Amino acid sequence: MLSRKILIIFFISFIFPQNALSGYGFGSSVDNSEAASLGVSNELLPSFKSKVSLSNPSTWHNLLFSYLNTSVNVQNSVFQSDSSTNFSFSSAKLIIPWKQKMAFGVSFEPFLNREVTISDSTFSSFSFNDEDILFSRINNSSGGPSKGQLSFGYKLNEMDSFGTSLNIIFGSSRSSRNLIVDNENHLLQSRDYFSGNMIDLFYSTNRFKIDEKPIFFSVAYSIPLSGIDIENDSYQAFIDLNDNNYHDVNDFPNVGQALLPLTQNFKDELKINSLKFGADYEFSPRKHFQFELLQLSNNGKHSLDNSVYGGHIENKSKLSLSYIKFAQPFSRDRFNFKASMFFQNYGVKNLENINEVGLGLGVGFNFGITGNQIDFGYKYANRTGVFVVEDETLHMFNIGISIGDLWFVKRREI
Amino acid sequence: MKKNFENFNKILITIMFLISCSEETILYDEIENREGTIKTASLPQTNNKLYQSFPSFSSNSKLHFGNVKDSENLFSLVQMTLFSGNIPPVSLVDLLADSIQVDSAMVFFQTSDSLQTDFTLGLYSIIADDDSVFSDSLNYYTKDNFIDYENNSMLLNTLDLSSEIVAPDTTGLDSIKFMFEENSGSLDLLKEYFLDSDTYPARTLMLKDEDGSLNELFTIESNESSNGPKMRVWFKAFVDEETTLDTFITFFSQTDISVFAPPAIEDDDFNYISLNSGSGLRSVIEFDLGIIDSLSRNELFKNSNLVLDVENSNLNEDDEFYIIVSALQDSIQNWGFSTPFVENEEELETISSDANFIISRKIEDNQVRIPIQAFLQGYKNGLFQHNELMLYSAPVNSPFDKVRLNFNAIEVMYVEP
Repeated sequence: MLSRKILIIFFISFIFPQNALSGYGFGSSVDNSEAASLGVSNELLPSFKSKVSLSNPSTWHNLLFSYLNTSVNVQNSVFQSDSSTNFSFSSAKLIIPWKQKMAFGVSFEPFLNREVTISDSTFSSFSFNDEDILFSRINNSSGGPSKGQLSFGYKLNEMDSFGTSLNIIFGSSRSSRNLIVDNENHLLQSRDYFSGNMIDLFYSTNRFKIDEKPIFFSVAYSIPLSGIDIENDSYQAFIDLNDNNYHDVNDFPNVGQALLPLTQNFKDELKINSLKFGADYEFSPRKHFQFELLQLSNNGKHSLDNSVYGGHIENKSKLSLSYIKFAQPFSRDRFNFKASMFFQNYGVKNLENINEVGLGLGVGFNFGITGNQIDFGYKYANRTGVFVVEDETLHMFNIGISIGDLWFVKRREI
Repeated sequence: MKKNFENFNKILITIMFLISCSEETILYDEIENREGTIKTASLPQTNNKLYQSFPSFSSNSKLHFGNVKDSENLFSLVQMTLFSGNIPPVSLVDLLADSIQVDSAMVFFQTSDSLQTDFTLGLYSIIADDDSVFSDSLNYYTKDNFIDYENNSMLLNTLDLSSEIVAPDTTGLDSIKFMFEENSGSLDLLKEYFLDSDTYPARTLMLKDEDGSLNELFTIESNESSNGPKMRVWFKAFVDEETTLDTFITFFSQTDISVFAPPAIEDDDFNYISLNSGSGLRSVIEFDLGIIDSLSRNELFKNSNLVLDVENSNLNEDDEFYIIVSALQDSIQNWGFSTPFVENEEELETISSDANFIISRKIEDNQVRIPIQAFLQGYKNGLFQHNELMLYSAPVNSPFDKVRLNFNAIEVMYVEP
């Protein structure tokens, strides 16, 4: 019964979340989808357990149990004099280690978020046949593609391991332009269907040491197997006479007299390559210092010009510095503490680049013999150079629950 | 512990719901200029056609008399049933048998009108050899295709009608009765020229204003009404030497029609959009829709009106006149006057309306504004192929009402979300 309620809440929340970056291109990318990594502002380096990052399959063989992780996200965005608070599903992930040699994982998480609404602040007047006609406009987009991920991690030897993830991009986003004339909604709706595949390659090693203390290095490279294609279905504009936001026989022109949707296929609209490099140094027992670099580029064609702002993010660079203190397994010390700061730059095509500076904080609490964990992550970020709104401040709060069990793991392997 | 966990879930769900419904907006006018969101245009008329279609009555439930608004009501024809409505059925000619003695008869009609003018209503019998002397296609323009009713009729009876005689009662109806009795000699006429259906099989009665003095519209209920024309005959039937049946039977009307001369089609009508249902006068206008080709797929028509001004009409102050505008199934080939009353069928031009766009509006303040955005949008979407609209008088209008209209403008407003 509870799960049913939560599903309803998720559905509602998918309708509303937004931040100002959602207006660029096909929407804003979703970073640090699970709570454990939000506090450290990186993805490759251990943040869930010592030597384990939920986002890095090359570390999963270090897990003793299978874990089912679910995260939800609350985001508060402040720009100009407005503020919005939104709740959304963040990620779901199942990781199954096998004989501490390899691991398999399957996950689902949002890929792009396109929730944004822009509207006229006042009504305009138009005179026709000695009548004043009032009108205003609302441009709304929602939804966004999701990412399904199949992952595999393998321990090559005591020093090295690698991992790979096959990312399947699917789902759709909707755009709606509404011209309100004398309280009648004139709707122009379109839908973008996304499909594409990407592969992530991970390599991790702890061959290097400083003062006999190993340094954990990890690198990840993402390449598109095939570019992300978009099928754009554009529906003919109509007057929504019955205000149900749906084109039916009671509208003008009625749905039977309207032109068929115009379907256009765009190949390789998004082609995302990214390279991540990170290092983790355990300078004191269970206390780590981490840094990670990210360089991302989008070489997609972007032929479909339906961006709200008329610009899209071409590349992104990120540097994060983190401190983490892990709990001691099987002891009373059950808390992981994380703190981080990061610098990020978005290169925007046709528009001003965006700079982002932020802080991350996180706490993880271990409970149960199987290492169940609940993670709380908080991120504060300040963006400058955002189109129209200029400055935007984000507060993101993420909660993740990881349940460990012996699913698919033989008891004698522990 | 379990209860605490459930309470925590409830609180969490409530918080999630409340914060999920928060939404902010960015101002549109800072991103895209709103100029040009709404546009207007005026569509010029490029051609027009006056033509005649089959005349139509506003209502088939009445038979008309009187001369009104340049129309002259000529006569009405009523065909009676061959057999009575009683059991066993008795035919008209059976009443002339030796064993039957017709005592009297009455042909009667119902009216809901009152009269201002006195006039004499004549009742004739059509004495033709055919049993079918008229059809629905009979009208002023086609009467030459039928028999000459005036010269093939026998006056059976007359009735002087006046405002004192015709006065509908509380039921809203009054009866107009033609009596046929032995002593007046009219019964013999009825027996000879009407009941003898072997000789005169038409069994059709003709009614007309005898001296053409009625200058107002007077109607009686037709066969379409439940109070249609009837004939009652009282008679004695000699069953045997000792038995005589004294009874009556009733014959009902089977079909009827009024024939009238509608307002004439005049030369001046060709200078206007002229409409009259009595004469079948209609108009077609063609206008330039070239602007539609230049519009984008998502531009929507709204508030677009065909505006017509009344040049002149024969409407009285309280009269209402509705104009119907419809799209055409086929484009007009001949922009000259055309009529369905042609001898050679190859010359017949059929102009049919497209049921996907038919709209009606009333004349108000000497102007009519007819919304045509559905037609324009349909034309844009390929639903209509022809840039022409047909205009005609609505069936609710009197067939004697005639208007002449001037094309004012087609004002068009269109928007793109």
